[in-house]
Amino acid sequence: MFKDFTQLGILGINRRIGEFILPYNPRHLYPLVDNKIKTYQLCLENGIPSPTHYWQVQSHGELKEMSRHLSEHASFAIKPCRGAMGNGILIVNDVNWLDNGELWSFKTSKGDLKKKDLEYFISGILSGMYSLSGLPDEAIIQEKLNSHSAIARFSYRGIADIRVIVFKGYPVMAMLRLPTSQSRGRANLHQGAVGCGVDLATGSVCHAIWQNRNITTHPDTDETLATLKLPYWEEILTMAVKCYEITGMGYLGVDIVLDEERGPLLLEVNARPGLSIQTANMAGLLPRLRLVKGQPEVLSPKKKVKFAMENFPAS
Amino acid sequence: MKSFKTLLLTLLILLPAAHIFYKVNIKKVSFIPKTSSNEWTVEIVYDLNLISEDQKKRALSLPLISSWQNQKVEIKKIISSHRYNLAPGFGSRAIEIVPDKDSNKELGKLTVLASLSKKINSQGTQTRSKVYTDKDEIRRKYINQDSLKEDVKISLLNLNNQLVVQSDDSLEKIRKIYYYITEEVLRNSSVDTLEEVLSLREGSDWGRAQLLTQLARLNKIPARINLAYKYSGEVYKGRMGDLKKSFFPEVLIGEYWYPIDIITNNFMRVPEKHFILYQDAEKVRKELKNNHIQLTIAPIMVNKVDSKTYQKKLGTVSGLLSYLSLHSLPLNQQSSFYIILLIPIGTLLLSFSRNIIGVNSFGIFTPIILSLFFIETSFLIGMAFFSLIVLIGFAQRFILDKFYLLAVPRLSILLTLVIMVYLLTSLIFSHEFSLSSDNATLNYFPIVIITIFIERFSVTFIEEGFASTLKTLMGTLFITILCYLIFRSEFLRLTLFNHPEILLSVVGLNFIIGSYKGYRLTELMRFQEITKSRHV
Repeated sequence: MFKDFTQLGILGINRRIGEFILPYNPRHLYPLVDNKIKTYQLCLENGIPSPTHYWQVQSHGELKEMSRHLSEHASFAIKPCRGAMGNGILIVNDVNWLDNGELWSFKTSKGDLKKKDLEYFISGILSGMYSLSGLPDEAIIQEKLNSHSAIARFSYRGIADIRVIVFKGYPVMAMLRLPTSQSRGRANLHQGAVGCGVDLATGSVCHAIWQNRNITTHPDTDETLATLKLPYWEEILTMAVKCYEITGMGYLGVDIVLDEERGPLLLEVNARPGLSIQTANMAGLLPRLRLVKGQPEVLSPKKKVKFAMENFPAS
Repeated sequence: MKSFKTLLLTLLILLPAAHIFYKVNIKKVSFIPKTSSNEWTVEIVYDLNLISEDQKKRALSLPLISSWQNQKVEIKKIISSHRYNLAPGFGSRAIEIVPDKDSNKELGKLTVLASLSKKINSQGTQTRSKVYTDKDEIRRKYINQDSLKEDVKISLLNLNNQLVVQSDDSLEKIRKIYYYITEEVLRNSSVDTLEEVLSLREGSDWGRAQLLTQLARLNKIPARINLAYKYSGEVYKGRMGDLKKSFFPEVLIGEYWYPIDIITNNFMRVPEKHFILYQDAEKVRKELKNNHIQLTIAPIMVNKVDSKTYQKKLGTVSGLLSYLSLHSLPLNQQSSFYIILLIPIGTLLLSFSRNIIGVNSFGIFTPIILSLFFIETSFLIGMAFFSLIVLIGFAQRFILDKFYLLAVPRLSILLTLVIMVYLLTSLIFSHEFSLSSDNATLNYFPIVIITIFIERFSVTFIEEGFASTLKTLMGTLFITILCYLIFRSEFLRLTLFNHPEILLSVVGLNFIIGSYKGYRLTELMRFQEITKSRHV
């Protein structure tokens, strides 16, 4: 029944957990990647560029000071510190002010919201509504990113992101995720985003899927996806490799965004990256993972990137 | 490491199998004990806390249920902090308590566990009983009306003159009295005393029984009242409903006592579905009332199997086996183990569904708790409950969310709603829903799990949309129904109860599922696009 799968080396959920996540990702390191504030600290300490945090909200009481903290920013993104799968993220595009300097209403990714709605949303994050464990969480208000012009015309609103699977510090597979009208700006495949397989050798889109079906053009913008080539490709891969070095996690999904002004920025690191990247690339992860298993763990990021670019081109 | 794992697995799976083989094929103990379904255990509690000071010093006689015609009674256990012995009394049997003279200890409660069995097919047959002892004495005793007040006697006499003709024989007189009471004296549970029944022409079971008895005695026909308990619910479903106290009179004609059913109106029949506890209810009532003794009687469980015989057989084979057998536990604990032992099987099914088939569910415990609920009630009630719970999930999403409530109070509201739904389901289906005392503990903890289920359901709904939620919901239902179908098997429950060592094998099987690194069945669909285009 699964003969084709084995032949193509498709990685299934059970093997992902049993052979890669459990043995290579030590449990005590999880907070570094599940907690976005800790990841941000690591980035700051190690000089990895990432979106600036404007305000970190720890308790419901701090919400009173919302106007003061956000007064200088016309746009921002709100996220749960320990969220997953793009849940609980709100993008604020524009802020309306009252005459007395109080925040009033917001144009957001979920429509026009009143200040009260925004407070409720953040309060929901703090209560743990979107956190992995359901435990009380913290909220992050960070800079809103502007999609890089090389990608923007392909994408429908929102910010596209680049997911790189890194095993033992070697990039093994990459995918570009483009939001659609259906995904409402979110870059998650199961929410309706487009997944584009990216040739590790060149950074060009080699294949694309939407709703688990093959496509050649973006469903909203109609742009031919195969013409998309990611700029800063080597930098992106090097950034992914560095994430392995700063977290110590053997099997990682690194999410990177391309900002128009700032270039590649580390968005988040995932200790349980999904498997749809295989469909997006029309290739199984297993042969690549097995090849990396035999490679030395300690090697300069540059050499690891070179190894990946040479060995894992689009097939 | 690998060979250690193989060894461990082999041991875990084979040991229980070998042990069961040893018990059944070598020691010749039957695989599961014989099943029976008409033997019930009831708990009879005498509350002696209110007893008067001087009564405490004297020996005290308490009425005790005994075998009678179609019903067999076996006293299993008597729990008392005082010395007691069994003695005749109350028309059948009694317990006599002998308090310590010097001690000032409270008498507390005395509990009797008794097993009752009834020939179920014998309902409704005429069940007169022969009198063997001194007939004259019984006659004297049961026509005595000394305790009646003069004015009551007069109104009884007036009524009697309207009803019977002196030339009638005893049977004819009783028949006339019976017709009068069943047709003219309405049932009203709040009218209890003879005086009231006479003036209002309505009465409770007790009141009407008294009227019949006293009218019979007035005609020199010995009469007495039986204290009976009516049982409801279906026996074969493995539980018995509540026991309701009821009374019916009996008259002595010739050599026989004849029952007169004025509850379901069958002349000379024992009312259907009744256990007779005491044949002289007046005496029992008086005794209990004078001594301030509270008597309660409640069913504990239906004995599904003949534990006693099985335990005896085990004892002859090996002392250790019989010591370790769950059959040696008190009956009420036994019945909770029948359920508890199912939980590991449920989690095993869940691991299989999730890791080998690839079906997702809301939480680990939700499907198991739900399926136990299905088992406790019925498929229909279970589904009704499940639908209501899902409805609360929607209500939370579309109504509660609009009020911007903080998390803990919101959860608290959900929990309260769950309990309300629970109450509602119980009330609507009260006739089938019996939360008998034996599994009360099991009824408390699901509420929290169900509440968390709703919370997760609602968050999934907001975050991942209707389609994804529906898929997980269907997955939850799938596992629930799978568990329900498997849990329904009486054979499985008895096997687990008899051979709890099977749990080791369950651990072993979980080990195997946990080490399975192959594909899940649902991944066939998920990655089919890759294989499709790779072949083209």
